[in-house]
Amino acid sequence: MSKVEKQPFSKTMTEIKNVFLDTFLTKNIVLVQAIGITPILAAGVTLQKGVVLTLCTAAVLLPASLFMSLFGDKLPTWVRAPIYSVGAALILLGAAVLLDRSVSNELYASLYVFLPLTAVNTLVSYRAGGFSVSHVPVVALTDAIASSLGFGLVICVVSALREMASFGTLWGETLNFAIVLPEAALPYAAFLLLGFMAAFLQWIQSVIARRENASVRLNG
Amino acid sequence: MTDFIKFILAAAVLQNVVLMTGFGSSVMIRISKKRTNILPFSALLCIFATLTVLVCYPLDLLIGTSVISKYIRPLMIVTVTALLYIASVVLLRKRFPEVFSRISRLLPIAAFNNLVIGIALIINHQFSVSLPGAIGLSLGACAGFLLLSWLTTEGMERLDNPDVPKSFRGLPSVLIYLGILSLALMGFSGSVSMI
Amino acid sequence: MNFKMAHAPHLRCSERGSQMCADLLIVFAPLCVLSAIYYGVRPVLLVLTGLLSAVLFETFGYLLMRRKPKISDGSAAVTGVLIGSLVSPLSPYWLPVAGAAFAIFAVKMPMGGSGRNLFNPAAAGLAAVTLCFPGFFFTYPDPGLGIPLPLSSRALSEVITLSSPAAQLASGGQTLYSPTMLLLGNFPGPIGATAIAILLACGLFLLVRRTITPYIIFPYLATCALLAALFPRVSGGLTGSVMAELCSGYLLFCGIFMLNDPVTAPRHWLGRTAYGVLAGLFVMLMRYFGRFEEGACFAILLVNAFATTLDRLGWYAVNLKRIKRRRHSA
Repeated sequence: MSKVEKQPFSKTMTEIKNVFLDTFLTKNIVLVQAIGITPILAAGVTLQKGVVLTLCTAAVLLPASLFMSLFGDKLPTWVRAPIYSVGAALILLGAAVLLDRSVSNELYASLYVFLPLTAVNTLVSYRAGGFSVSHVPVVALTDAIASSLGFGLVICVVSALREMASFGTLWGETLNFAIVLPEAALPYAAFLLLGFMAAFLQWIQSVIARRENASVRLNG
Repeated sequence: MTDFIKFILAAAVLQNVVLMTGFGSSVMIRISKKRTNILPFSALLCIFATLTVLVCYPLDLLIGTSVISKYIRPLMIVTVTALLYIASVVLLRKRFPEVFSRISRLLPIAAFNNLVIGIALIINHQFSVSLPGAIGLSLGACAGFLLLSWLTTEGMERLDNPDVPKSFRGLPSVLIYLGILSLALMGFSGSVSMI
Repeated sequence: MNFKMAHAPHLRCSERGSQMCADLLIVFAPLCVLSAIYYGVRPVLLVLTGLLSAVLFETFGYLLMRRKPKISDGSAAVTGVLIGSLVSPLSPYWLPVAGAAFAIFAVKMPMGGSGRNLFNPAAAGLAAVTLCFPGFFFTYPDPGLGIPLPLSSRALSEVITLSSPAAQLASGGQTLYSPTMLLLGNFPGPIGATAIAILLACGLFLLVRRTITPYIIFPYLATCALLAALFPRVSGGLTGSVMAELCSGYLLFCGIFMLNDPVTAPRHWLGRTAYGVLAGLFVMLMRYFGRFEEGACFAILLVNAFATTLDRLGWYAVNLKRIKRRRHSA
């Protein structure tokens, strides 16, 4: 889809709605496009870490997408990657200081490796660097929001489940669980969880498609 | 020298970096969809990872371990990688333009990658390691990436069959395949000891 | 030309698949009998629990996928019996059920059901159970008890446990078991993996029936023996080390029953040989550097992933001259 300078507002709104639903659900950024799996595997172990990573991803993705949409096509292709990566690293420097000083030292220490990795996350390379360049700023921003939300949903669900299974807690609060499996904190559990979640999403989509086909046949 | 060998073996096979820490897993899945991409991409990854480690190692020692240097370290690593990437683009465009036109799409992903930055981050932060060990770690990680990409491509081919349930066709079955491979590696000692 | 689509195991005769499974189930009978002699009815019940749960889960899985259940090929039964035979006689009844559930729902069904699994389901189920519940998995009773084990899991805490030869090897101690004791199964270990003499007889029977292939089992055992001889973990000389390594844990059991799975093993003879060697290497590496005293199931999962590559390499290696000639003439 090429950038259209002037188009009717309603068409832009439809495009926004489609892009949002596409990136958030139908072609969910993690479960269908296999983008952004790295942080979920090793760092998506407690819900708090999941939420922090989502916020950092959003903090990096939104400005990067907006910037690439506004100025990306004016820059030569090869220069784009260093610009948004270094820019993202600068934003994350601020986020790191904020996390360490104002929120929690231990959280920062445990996320020391994965926080800066958000700068080079495939989310940024493929969405900001790929999608946003060829779309109007509003659509690019919508896509960035949908990607962050899609990623956030998946990482929070996986982290919450793993936290409950491996430590018996949720957001640090102990729950009354009889079975605690410390091995759920290992990466293989994340891979398997993601696989089953992706299958669940595909199943839901096939059910919806079947219902739509049935109603089309009834009406048509 | 023993450090070098120890880390190469560890990062490539015994505790494959991609499966244990997740560095580069998204990229690996996307690259493995086309068999011909695997070798050139892994070679590029290896070059960037090793060069980044080589440059960042002395810089690490230079900035020390104060609180401020802890914050600046990631930015320093990303900047080093960016400079290396720009240098490689300039060099390739001048000297080897056909090579550049063929790999220009893979180049930014190979440079700005969780594996490259992640390896540089964990060295001297998680465990202090000598320079040969650090180089061994990055080489081993890339060798492990290559091995795993190959196994993933083979797996994807076998999973492309009509008996797989409809909900599991495509990415879900590949993720489960990687999960079982990761489970297999859990037999070796150490949980996620690199993080 | 009309081609008929078929999937693994690619066996010439369609009855061969179920016949192979029937052979495997037959040879488990003497193993269960010996275990019953040492420990009473409990081990047999554990094996049966594994068998029933695997068959039930597979039926349920096929119904979920809205397909006709195909249990008559026997693969689910074999998976269940394998899992049931490798748990400790002291393990609770839910352990083989958990293993079977993982094997069927996480490995077999998502990858396409019978004939399509990329990994041996029994090995995967055992790996998951070993990882999550090592305490239950590696606690073995003393075979010299003289009285049968209690059937209820609650009464098990009073049973005396002994460390198995694999655990002794892992801790670097001297194994206390003579070759006779090792051959007769008079040492602590998993239900079906201790009776070495009977296992060897089973292996011979399966070789004669061509259910297992010599191209996999002999290189596998040779590699394990070679590594045991080169890097001994006990000070009993070469033979002592080789005997101890080959008879402890479930190394031999895996080589006979799990490596030869026709769905996950290579087809080409050279690929099979390389597969056996690689499997032996991984099993011994798991013993030397692994987390657990016995990691053969993890090693089998690893080597399963290499099966197609080894097949390919084997074929190319053998046909290299022909390919080169064709390229020159073209």
